[in-house]
Amino acid sequence: METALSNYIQNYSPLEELIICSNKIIGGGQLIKIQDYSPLVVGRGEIPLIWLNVKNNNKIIELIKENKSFNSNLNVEKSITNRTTIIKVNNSIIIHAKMREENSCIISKIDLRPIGLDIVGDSQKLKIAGNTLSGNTFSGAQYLIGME
Amino acid sequence: MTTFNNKEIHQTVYINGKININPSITILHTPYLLEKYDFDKVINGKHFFSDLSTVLKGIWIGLTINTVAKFIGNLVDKNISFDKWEVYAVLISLFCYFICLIIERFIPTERKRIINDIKSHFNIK
Repeated sequence: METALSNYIQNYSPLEELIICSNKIIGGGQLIKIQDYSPLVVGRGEIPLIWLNVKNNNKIIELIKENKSFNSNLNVEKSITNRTTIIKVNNSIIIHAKMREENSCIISKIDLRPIGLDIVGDSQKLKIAGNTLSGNTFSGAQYLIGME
Repeated sequence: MTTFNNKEIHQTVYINGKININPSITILHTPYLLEKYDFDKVINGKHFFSDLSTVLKGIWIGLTINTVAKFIGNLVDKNISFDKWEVYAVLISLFCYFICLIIERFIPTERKRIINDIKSHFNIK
């Protein structure tokens, strides 16, 4: 059974369309669920609202909550003008997210290896633990990818 | 390893592989979000018996130094008197100090609750 995001993420409004590295997620879904948590959640806002979580010793650790960083190594750059949210680790971009319209967000770059997750992608393709996704359209469930 | 290109997908795709790798940044714990009220309790929320035990500890240390000094003085110079009541004073202050410590330990306070919450959050035994 899928865990509702709202159970552990507050103030989250789903996007109608989320494009992650050329893969389109329609209807409020998110990219990936690993066991019982979602490492990356993108929500609707004037700029993309991002939650970033990892699991350590069976505890879910919030690294970024609604664009607010709880880890000194993670820097969140917000631009209302460009409608972007950019997350950096030591000046390297690990997430570049931009609102295209009111209900549509595009992530053109992702690299979660610095936080211990093998998820890398650019505007052409997305690689998750060696699996490649490109140009797919997903709708109808809460998560595009599941891992046990 | 699997490749998904230009597909219409309508249910969660379960994939294999090793997703967890060694992070390059330090990830330990979620920060403990301390409210101003809690911070105030941690700084100023000590129980009366806690403050009293601190005072009694000071008295006990002072009396002990005094008694030891007089005892040594008495050994060197018999004119320096060394009275029994001084030893009793040391013992009584020590006894009162321990009583306060025990009472303070068993009385629940907001400060203790917050400190226990913080310890529990950071898995501190």
